[in-house]
Amino acid sequence: MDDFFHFEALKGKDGYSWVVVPEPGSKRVIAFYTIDPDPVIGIEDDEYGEYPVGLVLLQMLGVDKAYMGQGIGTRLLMRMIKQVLLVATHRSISGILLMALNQKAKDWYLQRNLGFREIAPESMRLLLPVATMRMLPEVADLGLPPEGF
Amino acid sequence: MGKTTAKSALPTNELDTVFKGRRGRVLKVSAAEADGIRNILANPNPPTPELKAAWEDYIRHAADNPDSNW
Repeated sequence: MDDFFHFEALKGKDGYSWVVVPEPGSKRVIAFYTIDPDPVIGIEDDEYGEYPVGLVLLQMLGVDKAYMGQGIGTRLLMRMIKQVLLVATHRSISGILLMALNQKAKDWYLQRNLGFREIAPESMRLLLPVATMRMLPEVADLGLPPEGF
Repeated sequence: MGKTTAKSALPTNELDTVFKGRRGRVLKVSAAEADGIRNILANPNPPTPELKAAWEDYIRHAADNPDSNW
């Protein structure tokens, strides 16, 4: 993988996207992820009602076909984990929730075994807890407060 | 994804910038999904070997490319 990946933030109507370009200034997008600008502050179901929980919603992650198989998608996920760890130090964020667009996308996450778990059988939503992220090596080097902050 | 327009790079703690001024929202889920979310958060797994390896690769890559905003 080359060293010229560069991020620019793009603000879309329905989400914020971070894109990977092959070199600074390039307009070619070779990968991206999009998050919902509204963090989840609670979940609600018909049986038990509302339950407060803070989650960051990953809406989409994609890699140009020409660049697939180089680990770019996985690195993008790791970058997002870092950003979530940083924001979770002072916001009530407990995890990353993603909605897989289809079974193929769901399988992509599950087959990589990166810690995302199905929240229910047959659900297309997968969850990675911040508590799991905090157990990663070298997280302390990010300057995060201790767990439970 | 909605139509996008170029914007200058955000600072390191970029999610703060995104969430600033946002009230957040309540997500409608099924009862089974709500149970699953609560259970996973109450019983977080340790990182898988694959997650650890991916994280370490990312940390190395970011350190090797300090100007690339990884």
